[in-house]
Amino acid sequence: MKTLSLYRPRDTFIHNGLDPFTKLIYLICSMISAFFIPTFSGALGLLVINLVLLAWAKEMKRALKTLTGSLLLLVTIFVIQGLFHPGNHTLLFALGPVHVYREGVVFALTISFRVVNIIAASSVLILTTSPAAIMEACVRRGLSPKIGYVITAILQMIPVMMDSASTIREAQQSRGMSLEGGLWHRMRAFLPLLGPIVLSSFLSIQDRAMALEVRGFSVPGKRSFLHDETVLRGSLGLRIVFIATTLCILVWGILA
Amino acid sequence: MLPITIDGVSFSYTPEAPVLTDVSLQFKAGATAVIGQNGAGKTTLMKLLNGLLKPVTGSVRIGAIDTREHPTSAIARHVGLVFQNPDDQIFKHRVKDEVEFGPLNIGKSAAQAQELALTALERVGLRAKVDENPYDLSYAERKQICVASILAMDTRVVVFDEPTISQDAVGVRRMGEIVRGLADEGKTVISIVHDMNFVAEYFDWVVVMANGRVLQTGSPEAVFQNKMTLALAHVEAPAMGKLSTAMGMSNFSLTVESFVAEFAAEFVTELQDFQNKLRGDRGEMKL
Amino acid sequence: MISVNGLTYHYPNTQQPALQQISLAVRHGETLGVLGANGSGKSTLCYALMGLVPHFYKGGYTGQVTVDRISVANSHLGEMAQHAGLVFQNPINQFSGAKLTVEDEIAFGMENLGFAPSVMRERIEWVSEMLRITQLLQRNPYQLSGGQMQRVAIASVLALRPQVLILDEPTSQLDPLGTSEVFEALRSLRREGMTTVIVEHKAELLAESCDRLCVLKDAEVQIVDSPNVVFGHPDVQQWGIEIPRYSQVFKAFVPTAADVPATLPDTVERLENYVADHD
Repeated sequence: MKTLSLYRPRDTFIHNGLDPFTKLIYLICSMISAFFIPTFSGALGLLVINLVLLAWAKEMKRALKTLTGSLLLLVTIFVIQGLFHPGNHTLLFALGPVHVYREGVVFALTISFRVVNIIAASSVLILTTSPAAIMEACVRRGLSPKIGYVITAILQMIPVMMDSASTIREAQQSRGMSLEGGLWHRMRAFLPLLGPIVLSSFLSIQDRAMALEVRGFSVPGKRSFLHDETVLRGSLGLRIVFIATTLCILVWGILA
Repeated sequence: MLPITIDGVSFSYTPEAPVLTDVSLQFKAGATAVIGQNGAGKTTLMKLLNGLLKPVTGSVRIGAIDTREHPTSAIARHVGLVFQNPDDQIFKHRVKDEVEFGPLNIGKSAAQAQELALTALERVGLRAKVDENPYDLSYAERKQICVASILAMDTRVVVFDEPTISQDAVGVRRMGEIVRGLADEGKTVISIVHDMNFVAEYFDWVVVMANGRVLQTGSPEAVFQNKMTLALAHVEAPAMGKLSTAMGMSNFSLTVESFVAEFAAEFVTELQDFQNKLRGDRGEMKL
Repeated sequence: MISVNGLTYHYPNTQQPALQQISLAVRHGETLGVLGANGSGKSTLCYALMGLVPHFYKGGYTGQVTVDRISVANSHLGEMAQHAGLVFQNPINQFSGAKLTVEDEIAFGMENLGFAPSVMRERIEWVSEMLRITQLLQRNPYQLSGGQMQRVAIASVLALRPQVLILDEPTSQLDPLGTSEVFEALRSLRREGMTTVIVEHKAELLAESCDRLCVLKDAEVQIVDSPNVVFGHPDVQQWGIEIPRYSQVFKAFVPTAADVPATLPDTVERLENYVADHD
């Protein structure tokens, strides 16, 4: 079943040496740290750690693509904050009528570091772990299987709907509809597809729901698992390290 | 009638996985069934016929038109393709609009399109549902709407992808009558079929495919008596064929009517008596 | 094993009954075939035997359905899953979508019900041998042929060891090879004494594999009897069902026969007798 995910299987320590739950803990700790680290050097240090992990996972290229995607957003933040941030009064430099203030730039830099760190840390998890594995790790620890299933199903539904759209388009072409024409023409051609795609997705969701019921999905009580969770050496240690470090950073951030 | 020539066609989505290898076929007027296991390349063949897919090597010609040189929307004036899953085709909220979509696209006027649509709906037995929402109809009825949508385009070539799936006895018979009707009008009808009885009863010619190649082409009698072909394509002979063989008849029958006539001729000595009986029971035999 | 009494049901927001006063009984180890025109209530009957009606599809429900003496209407769906397994037409929509191997897919239902891993492994071995899919256990279920997928779907519900297996047009979407694989699997199950209800249009295959046939028309039962009697019935033309061509042939020669052969070997025998009698 095709799933909408950025996961690409590879053989690196990050992919296979770290279990999904450890990586999830890392992400949560990273995000909390990004918000509480009080100095730029700290934030930079966190970014360096994230980038090293990405390099280790051989996913630098794809991660950088996402990061450069956010570049426009960051530049905008810089411009707006640099010029208009309330509390701006220390002039950094002026280019004619444009006055850029220190406070605004500092604020923008703080936000930017947070955004970039969150993206980088998310990439460490998402590029190296399949959604099904993440969900299973959570369900094993008490996440309602229904929620886990819904998330997995949504990720599967989208590629299915895209396939459906392309088959419908083939059927339309077979009935004489031309695909040439400008953007406007193509958009007009796309809109009527939405109804049937969504409707037929609902029909297959209904089929799936029935099939799940037939397999006892809604039975109350504890689930079991065919396979034991693969416990990788040192995972527990790593998780403790992540959590402890985050707690320290939290304290540092609050005190500073 | 528009002859179709497939000349040395090979097709694959990726070079390592060929889907069709060196296929050469000719389709003329009449009804041709394409049979074979799933994965043998039948659906790919269908899509090559209307230009949705272009051959990697070789050519597909519809009359004088080379499919490589025209978009599907243009080829659609001549070749109508009925997809297997109606939910991959239907996209209008009203049956009438859905069935009129094809003819309007290929240049019919609104009045012509309406007439063609109503006639087509009549042919599939759904004239009464013309103003309903297709998704309020059953799956089998939606399949019939798709058939009507293509019939309304009045193309000289009509291609079906497994038209009898999910149809009940009445629906299958209606499909057979449509196939036969189109073939008798001189159109070129091509259909992927999994029901060998349906093939035996309504088709003039059979193309057998396996593993991306053509195994055999021929009349239903010729194909269904070829044990090697049947084994390689993983299909069985139709019921009457099997019965003919089991009874050791000298002629291989494809339909109930022809079997009964052959059997009577071969085994029943009071022939005159029996023929009277047959005539008297004609009502019961028209099953 | 299965007992249906006066079952009348209509889907929510509809007036037309989908099932009208249905009464029938299926014996332990019996294979019952269900035929009828589209819209006659066949799928609804399957849902009612398993409990999807009335628990998944609420609606107007009167009458009683019991499977192995358990009332379907009074049992939770999850509970019913251990007594009645249901296999649908489209193999793809039946898979959980959460599992990457056939083995895990078969385990899915058992995991939902909290079985111990050792029991799960035992059951997986048992069903995969029965359905001849042992060599497919590590494969991705979505990359199999239609016939293989349906056998995996059957294995997945069978792993819960239901007393009854219900199949709603399981070979509709399959090619001839897939169809024969599924019917062969059903033959194995029949030998093991499984009680089965199968809905299909393919009259010849049903005649071969079923002990009795039930014909539905317009939400009502027309007849429940052996294939030979059903296809020989004087009203059979009005039921909108496919009549095996073998039976049609026989009826051309003996139009008043109360029971007609419906399978190849039977027809050969009866025709030979006919010739012998008339020579």
